[in-house]
Amino acid sequence: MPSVIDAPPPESDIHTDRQESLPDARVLEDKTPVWFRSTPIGTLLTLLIGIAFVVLTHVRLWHTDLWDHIQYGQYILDHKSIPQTEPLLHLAQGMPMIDVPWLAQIGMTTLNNHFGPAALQFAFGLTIASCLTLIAWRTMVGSGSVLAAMLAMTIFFVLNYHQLMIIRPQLLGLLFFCGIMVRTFSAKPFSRMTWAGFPLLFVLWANCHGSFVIGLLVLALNAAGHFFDVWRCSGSLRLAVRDSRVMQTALLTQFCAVASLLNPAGLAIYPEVFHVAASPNIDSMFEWGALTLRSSQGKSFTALLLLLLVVLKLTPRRVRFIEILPLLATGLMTLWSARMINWWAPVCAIVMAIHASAILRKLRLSARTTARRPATGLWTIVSLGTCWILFGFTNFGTELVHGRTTDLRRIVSRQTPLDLVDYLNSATNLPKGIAFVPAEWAGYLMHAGPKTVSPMVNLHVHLIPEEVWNDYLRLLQVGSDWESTLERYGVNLVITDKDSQPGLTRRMTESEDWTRQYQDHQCAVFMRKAPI
Amino acid sequence: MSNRRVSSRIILLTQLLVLVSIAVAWLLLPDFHQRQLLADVRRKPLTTDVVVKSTEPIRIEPLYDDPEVVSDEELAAVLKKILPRFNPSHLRPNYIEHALRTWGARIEFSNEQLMSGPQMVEFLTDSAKYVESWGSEGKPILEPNEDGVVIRYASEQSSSVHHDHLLASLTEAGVSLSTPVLTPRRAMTFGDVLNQAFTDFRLDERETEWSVMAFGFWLAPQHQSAWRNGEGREITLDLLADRLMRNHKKHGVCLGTHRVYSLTAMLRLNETYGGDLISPETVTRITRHLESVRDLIRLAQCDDGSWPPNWTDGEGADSKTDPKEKWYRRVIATGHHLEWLAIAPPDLHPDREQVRRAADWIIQNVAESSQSTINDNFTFYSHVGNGLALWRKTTPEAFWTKWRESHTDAEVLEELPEPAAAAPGSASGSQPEQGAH
Repeated sequence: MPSVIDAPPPESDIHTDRQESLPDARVLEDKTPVWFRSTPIGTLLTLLIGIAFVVLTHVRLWHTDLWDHIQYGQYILDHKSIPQTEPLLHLAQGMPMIDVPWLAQIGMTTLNNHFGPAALQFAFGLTIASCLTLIAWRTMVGSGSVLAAMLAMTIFFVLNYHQLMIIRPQLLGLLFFCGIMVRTFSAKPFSRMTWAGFPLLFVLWANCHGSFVIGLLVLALNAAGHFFDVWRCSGSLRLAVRDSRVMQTALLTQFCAVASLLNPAGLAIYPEVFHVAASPNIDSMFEWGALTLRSSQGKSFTALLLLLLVVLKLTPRRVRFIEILPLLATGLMTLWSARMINWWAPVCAIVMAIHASAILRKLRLSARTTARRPATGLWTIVSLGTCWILFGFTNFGTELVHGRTTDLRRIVSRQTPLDLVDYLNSATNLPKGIAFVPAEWAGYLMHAGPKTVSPMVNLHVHLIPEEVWNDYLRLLQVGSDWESTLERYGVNLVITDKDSQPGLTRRMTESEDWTRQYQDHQCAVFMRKAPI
Repeated sequence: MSNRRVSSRIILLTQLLVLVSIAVAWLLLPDFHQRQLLADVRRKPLTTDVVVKSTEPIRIEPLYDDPEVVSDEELAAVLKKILPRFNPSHLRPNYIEHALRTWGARIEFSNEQLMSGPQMVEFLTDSAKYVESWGSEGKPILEPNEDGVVIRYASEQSSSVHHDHLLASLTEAGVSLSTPVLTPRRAMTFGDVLNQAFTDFRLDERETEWSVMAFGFWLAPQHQSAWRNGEGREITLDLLADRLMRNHKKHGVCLGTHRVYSLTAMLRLNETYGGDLISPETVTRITRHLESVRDLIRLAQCDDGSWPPNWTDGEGADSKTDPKEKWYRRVIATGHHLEWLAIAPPDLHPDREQVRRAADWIIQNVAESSQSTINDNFTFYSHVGNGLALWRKTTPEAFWTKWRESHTDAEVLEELPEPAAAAPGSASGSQPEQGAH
């Protein structure tokens, strides 16, 4: 009979005993559907992208385009119709308008109206995170390397940083563009999902942003790329022309082009995209100007272009035309107009990362990571849990879950004229009529300020009469006729941005015809002594 | 779909789908977008969508016949001094335009030194006549383009000086849209000039006074209050009125008085043609604007009866007058105010006594000014003559035609020396100053 002074049984026996008492998890079958399963790599990427997502949802809402779009969205909701002429600015009455991003505008306005600006932050972060996800996934599939995926996301973010920080319908266009890239870079045959999904995507895209034409271009270039790839490989033009993938991609492009006609403007949407870019007022918008080395975007572009060229030179993978053609097209567009870097960034990111990964693998510095661990439902649950936890860290999540509203001053950019609007709303002697307001503030002022103040211009410059926009620019530069210009427009209220309009602020302060009514760290408000 | 070959049938069906879709999309496009698309494809500017049905322009009838403002003799004396007697060499289009709107397109004179209405019309509508006068020293003011004819306007004497002033002057003179307009390259009509003006008009350009008036005259009879210009912008008469009113009153040609005239004309046209050309809100705004003009001139009138150039200063304007003020600017202010008052409803008038005093001043000014001075400042004085005629509920043409029947020496004119150098302080020969003719 054993006693307490007997030596304890060996550990292996303890272990065996425990094993015999616990169920053996190794015999469990993963009964989750195959599509539900993911790998540890997937979970890792979820975590990384999730962290980026949380950070992005705390980025302050940039004060420019957002509020203009919300105003247009509000107009559509109020009037239950899409405007055919510019509806917000007094000086732009009658200007023809094709409101391409109407659906995105309604979405932004609805989110803001029902859930507040934190929801806009959430949508902003989600959109960019989705772009990162698509880019990462495409790169992973193409390279088998999580490091390559991370590299692609980094390149994309660095290149596109300035464009990404502005919340506007273009971000949705970028998301759709990334979706297109993901599919077109894949060698898999087009499924029914592709044939149905792509046209539907383009219907949505054409009602959210004018960049759908770039999507069509990329599709068309994909068809051309396949053509040249087949021709290069086979040496036969006939084979290239009759290649099924070439033909399918060309047909898909056509379907998508036709699907894009399902929008309120119909066929007119196509020339409208070019009308916007061709507006003479656009010339004065720096982000539409040619890319130069003077800008940080230009520096990033140049650095990554050089790197890309090195990578493409050294890569052991065949560089295909389906990669070269979109790189070339979007690259040239970027040189023409800096804003187009938006479309070059994802292409460059994916191509560079995949080929860089191939170089590293050749040098045995890296290995494929995708096939290491089997996919299980457990990792998916972990990923979902991670998402839920991260969601709680967003402002929107905090509001939904805990009911705590984040202060507006922490949500919007520091340049948003909050104090100015507070003053204007409390002022009792504001003159009616056209007011000189910095274009960057006009949207927010119209959204949150008194309705009697009618800004001269906003940032939808393609809708503003050329003479009015030129006069606005002259006022910014304090041309010698600035006083008579203000008189010609009957302006009795002038608001200046002290940082970006110091000259005008000084002239207004010195003028005997104007009196300063308010100033803070950001702005000054002047009223005409003898109103017109 | 796998990588199997795409059949020709599917390719053809897809092309058919594309074509049908484009065709349906085209048919569903509104007219304006169709025109815009065609213009883009053809790389041509968009043309206006206005179709003016009537070929004869309308007139705004004057409202008052007050001999105490100006008697027959006084009116005749003023009109005699603004008879269209011009040196045929280097005829100034600006002068002819003013003479034409004053005297009309049909008047004939017994004195051959005077340009008849048809001659004046011909000078402005036939490039050959212009070239006869200017030779190679002036560029014809009629410039044809692909779809119409543009009137060249600039500050030099060989040009029309103000945008659409030629259009408005021919309209007020009663010139029909079918009147031939002969450019250096091809024959067109006055209707083409009007269509081009509709196309080219931009709401925010500097001078809109005459465009507004001309457009009102042609659109009112067909109860049309909106059209699209070459940019596709929808211009309404409400917008035009707003454009004339949004600035400080001192801005605008001729000390801001032309805008006042155009606004008054719009009110009258709206009243005459059914009241739906401009919205009730705009009617109210125009009325209030003109009331404020009335109140300003009521206060600004000088002791001698004239209105000063700085009439917008209201009370005490005379004491704030620029001591270096050019004398003819007072003629501009007084003459132009008399002119718009003649077509304005009585509640927009200052006291009638003030009107009479202003008329007395201007009549005396004309009497005391030499013919050469008046010739050198013809454009300003033409408004004086027209304005005074309106105060007798007539036109210079109608009055003069009747007057000379009983005054056979009416058109006997004093001999003038050779074309005089510009009189001191006159606007003639110099670049038109800001705000003046």
